[in-house]
Amino acid sequence: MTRTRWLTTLLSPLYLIACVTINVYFPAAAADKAADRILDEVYGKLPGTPATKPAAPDKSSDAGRPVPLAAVGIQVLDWLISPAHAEADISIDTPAIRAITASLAARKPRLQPFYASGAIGMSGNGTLAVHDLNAVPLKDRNTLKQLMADDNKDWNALYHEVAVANGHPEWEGDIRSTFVRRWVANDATSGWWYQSGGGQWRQK
Amino acid sequence: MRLPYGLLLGTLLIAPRLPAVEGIGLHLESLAGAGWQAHNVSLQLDMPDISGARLQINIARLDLPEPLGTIKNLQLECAALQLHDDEVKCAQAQLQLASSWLDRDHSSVAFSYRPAERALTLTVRDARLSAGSVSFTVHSDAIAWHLDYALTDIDLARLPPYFRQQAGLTSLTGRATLRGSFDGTESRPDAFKFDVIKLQALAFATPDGTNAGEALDVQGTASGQRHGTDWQVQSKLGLHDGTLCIKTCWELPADPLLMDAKADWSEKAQRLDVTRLHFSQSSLGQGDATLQLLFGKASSLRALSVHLEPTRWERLYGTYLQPLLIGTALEAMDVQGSIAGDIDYRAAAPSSARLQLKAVGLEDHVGRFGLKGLAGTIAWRSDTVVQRSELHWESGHIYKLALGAATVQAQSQGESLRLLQAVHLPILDGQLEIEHFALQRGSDQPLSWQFDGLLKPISMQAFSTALDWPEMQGKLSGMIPDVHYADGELRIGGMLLIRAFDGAITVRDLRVMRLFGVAPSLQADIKLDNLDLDALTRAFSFGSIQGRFSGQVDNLQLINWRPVAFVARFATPADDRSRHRISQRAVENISQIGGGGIGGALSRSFLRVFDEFSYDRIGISCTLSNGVCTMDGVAPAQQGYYLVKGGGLPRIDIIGYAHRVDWDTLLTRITGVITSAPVKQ
Repeated sequence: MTRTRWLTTLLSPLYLIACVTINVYFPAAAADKAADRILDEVYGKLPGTPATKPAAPDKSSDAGRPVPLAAVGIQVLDWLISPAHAEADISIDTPAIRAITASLAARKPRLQPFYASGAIGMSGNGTLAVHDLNAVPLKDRNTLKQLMADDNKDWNALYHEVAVANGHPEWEGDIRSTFVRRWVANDATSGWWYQSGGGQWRQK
Repeated sequence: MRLPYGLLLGTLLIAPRLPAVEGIGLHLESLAGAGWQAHNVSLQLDMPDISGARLQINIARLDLPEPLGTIKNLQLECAALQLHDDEVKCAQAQLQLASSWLDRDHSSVAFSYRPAERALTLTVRDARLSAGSVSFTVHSDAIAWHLDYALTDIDLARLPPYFRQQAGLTSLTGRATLRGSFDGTESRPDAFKFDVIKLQALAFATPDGTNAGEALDVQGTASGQRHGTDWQVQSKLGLHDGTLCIKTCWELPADPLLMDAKADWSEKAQRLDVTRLHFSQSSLGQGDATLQLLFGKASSLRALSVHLEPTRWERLYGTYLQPLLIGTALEAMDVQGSIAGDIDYRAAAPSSARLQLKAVGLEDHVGRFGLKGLAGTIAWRSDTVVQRSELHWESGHIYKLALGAATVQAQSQGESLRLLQAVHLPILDGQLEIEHFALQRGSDQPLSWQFDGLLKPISMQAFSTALDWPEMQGKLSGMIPDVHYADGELRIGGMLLIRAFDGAITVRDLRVMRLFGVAPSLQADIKLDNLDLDALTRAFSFGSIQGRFSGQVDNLQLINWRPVAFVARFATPADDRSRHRISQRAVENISQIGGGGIGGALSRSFLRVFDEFSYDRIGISCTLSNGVCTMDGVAPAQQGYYLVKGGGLPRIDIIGYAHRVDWDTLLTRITGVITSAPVKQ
């Protein structure tokens, strides 16, 4: 990072001439940590339970994407500075995110039996979805419908707020998939259900 | 209806004509017809005299079409078979067989056969089936057949799986009593009658579980007539208790929902047209409906029209509508009043609605909104035909802001709605005038609306009390040129002006996110211009400070209507020429808020002989973030900052030393100072 900053300063005249667009890439590792913190709070990691698995570095997220360049010919710079990018941190310490996280955490105990029975699971976009309605007694159906509606409002607001709090509303999609991935890895109890990328249900 | 009995009975009819036969024995390895097969069939007829005989038929295995399935060891024994020229008759026979769905393996049977008319009558009495009993009489001749049946207290769970499979169900339980008749020609029924339908503790579920029932009670009658491949059906049914789910689940009340319906069933199109449905429920009201349902692969509700007579809104909402509204702002309300109207649904979407409301009350369970004395007409169509609506209410509230009586006249066209005339909406002791209100909802975009508003003065006293803030003085008013709501976010484009304390407070860039959602978030920038500190401090019983005061609160953010972040700075304006005096009590209060021991020091020192002091500038700044207020004053001082910088005589400086103060502690101190203050001067 320091090297990049130095070079950026040194080469700033070139930048001006060449009109490079510096893209801030979605910080996958930082997002993993942020998701873990929020999910731990919602799903109540008790002290003494195994620590969260370290996030596997997601190479595809920063290396694989092309850098949009506003001018042609700037590739000559690439040998000097590997594609101009900066990886931001993910901030989740805002009052709105704290309030939404608390709301999700407060509702979680009531949803727990529905996760456990296989009635519901985590969908690919990070909201709750019905997996097996037959596992829900009819008298509990509307309760579940209400809990899911409330929870999904919270999840949607959470992803939106995390993206906005970091100044990148366009990150919402990446944030959603990060949360789903970390949820499956750390927060889902064995036996809980989730939707894979293709939309098929899988059981942890 | 071709019956296997035909061949066997034919044999019996020939028997008496055979001379000097005392008995006939017949054995067949197998015997088969369309859909059935019998193995090891034996028939024994003993004729001790000419008029009476004894018949015994044994079939080792009889495979019948579903749902009857396989019957083993069938034995029919008639001890007194009457043989006449024109009739074979047995008034009392015993039938014995083994089948998975029969509880008792023998039943009482009677039959007769008249060859001239090819008329067969067969009666089975009290066969024990699925924990209940079955009796039936079938009469068939060359042309037609007639069946009278009575199924009493059948346990549906013990019926052959065929029945629930045919109905597309994974489970079917409950007890059924059915009585009635069928008429038919050949193998097809032409008419049916259910004189008694009584289903108790009915429970069922489709494979995906979306359509299901539990503990339902159904009672009624039904009949139908065939026309070609189609059927015309009439039915009267009462439905009560239990839970019924058709995607959405409803808990049914104890008083039955009575339905009197006429319907046409098209076998080819797999379509049920309910051409007339009158429904009523004593605790609710009554109405009429028509609907069209598709079955089979494209199963769906194609069309529905409901006409509702004035109905108890409380019951309609509580029982039938609330489950449909889960996930919307109307999901949990206490309601009263009555509602009537017509609702149409076409091609999987609502197509028109016309509702008459009378004395309707709505009160959100979590206190976000409420309306009382709501009356009028709501009219809407999905096509482009213009519809007019008019609503009036007596009172209401949004959160704790009380709303007065108002009338709304609007015109809707498809997915857009606009006001026909300005709405005067009383809020607290002021009024909001709403003009140019327009609402849109596209098929691919969420609901949005906007209006221009004019706020006529609301007293800050009423406003601050309503919001549980410290009581404030002054008036809140202003032009609000562009109030815009979209995707859960309310934005106020113009500027709110609060005339208070002889100065002006302006609020700009006001945005509220998740207005009715989780953790509502408000953002705004506020500017205070030349307020009279004397009036302000008197209002808050703070002690007296004379002088003027300006400042701003930037990036104010409220979550759940509580401040969580802002950058605030207030100070004496640089060009202020007014008299600058501060009372001893105000000095002590400022010191207390600052948390320092200055106040105590003051009262112990000689300075206590002065009632008031002179100052040059007074001011404070606070940047709130993460529950901590980073404080500063009007000028830096040694190890601190000046909250009050003295000037003139007797002069006093108040220096603050705490740079970081816990916001909640600060709030407690401020409210403590204000509430512990003596009565206003």
